[in-house]
Amino acid sequence: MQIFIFIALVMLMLGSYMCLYRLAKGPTAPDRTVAIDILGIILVGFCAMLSILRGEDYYMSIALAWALLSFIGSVALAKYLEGKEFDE
Amino acid sequence: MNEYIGIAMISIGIVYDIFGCLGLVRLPDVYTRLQAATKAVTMGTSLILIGVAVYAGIGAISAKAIICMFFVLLSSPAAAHAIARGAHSSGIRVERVTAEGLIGRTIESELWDIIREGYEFEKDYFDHMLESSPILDLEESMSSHELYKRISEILGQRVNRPPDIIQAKLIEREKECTTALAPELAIPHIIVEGEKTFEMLIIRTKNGSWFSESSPNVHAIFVLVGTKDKWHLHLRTLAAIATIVQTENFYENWLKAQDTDRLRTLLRERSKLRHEKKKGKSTPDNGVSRR
Repeated sequence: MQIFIFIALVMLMLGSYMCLYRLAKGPTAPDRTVAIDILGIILVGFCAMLSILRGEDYYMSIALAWALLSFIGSVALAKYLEGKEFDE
Repeated sequence: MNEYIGIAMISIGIVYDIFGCLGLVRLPDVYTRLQAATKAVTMGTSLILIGVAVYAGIGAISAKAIICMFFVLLSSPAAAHAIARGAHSSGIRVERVTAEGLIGRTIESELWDIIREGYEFEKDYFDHMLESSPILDLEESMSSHELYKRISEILGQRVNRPPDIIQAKLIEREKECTTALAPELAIPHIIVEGEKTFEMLIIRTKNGSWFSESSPNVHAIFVLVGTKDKWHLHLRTLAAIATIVQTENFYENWLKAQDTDRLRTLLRERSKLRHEKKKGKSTPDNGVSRR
């Protein structure tokens, strides 16, 4: 079972490297915003996998917090792209 | 048993995640990347979280995983929509990726009609002529005599006159005074016998063609052939061309266009700007800014 979870973690890392590639390459600001959004969601899955690997539930709390923050961050960046103030 | 079900779900979720990320890397523009990555990754991560909940059994981990899954399912489409909207209003365009074979002239012109109806402007004579005139895209550089020969062959067919006459007239016209109006633009225009004929031929020469000492590198050539009674159209067409070539970055885009259809689309777009300027209407760049 352990080996399977390790493989799964490696695969998710591969996915997040792809996001990082898009984040670095761009070419436009919305491309980077999409990459950050997707990276956040993948890391939620990553934290969930860690929590069953270690059998600790606080990893799941990290995932929950991360999901919340990544959503807020994405929406804020999208508002920024739209060229508006955040309270509009 | 629970472990195996959980692992199966996690595996499926990871496959979705990887394909979503692959889409993020491989696809050509923001919108396609967004639609591939968001949907697949949301699905994948939700499956991973359900898998984790099943694997861990009832307890703190599974409770948090379920809450987290609902949150991801709710928030990720909303974030994607916000990003797409932001990208659209910051002026990112959809990349043209449709296979060449699928873009027939019909689709192009239908789309163009729809856009025109949206902006409510009327076609004037120049727009009609733009649709029907042939566009020639020359890769190799030609001497002006070869160029005149090609022009007179094509135009001879369209106006039903022998090509020799047209060629002779073009050469004569060029001798009188050069037709190259700007370093990159030439508008040779001749008058033929008869009546009720007016034709335009648009030529793009990628490597430039030699017209005179002062304009050795002409890229855009508009040849006008008309009879005496259509003289007013001649002047109006000249005015339209003059307005079009003065629009922003016209020559750059003119050289960048990949084929004759794109060239025609470029001219159409610029012609549309001309109408909007005439109306004195501010140009709404996209639908979003209109509330």
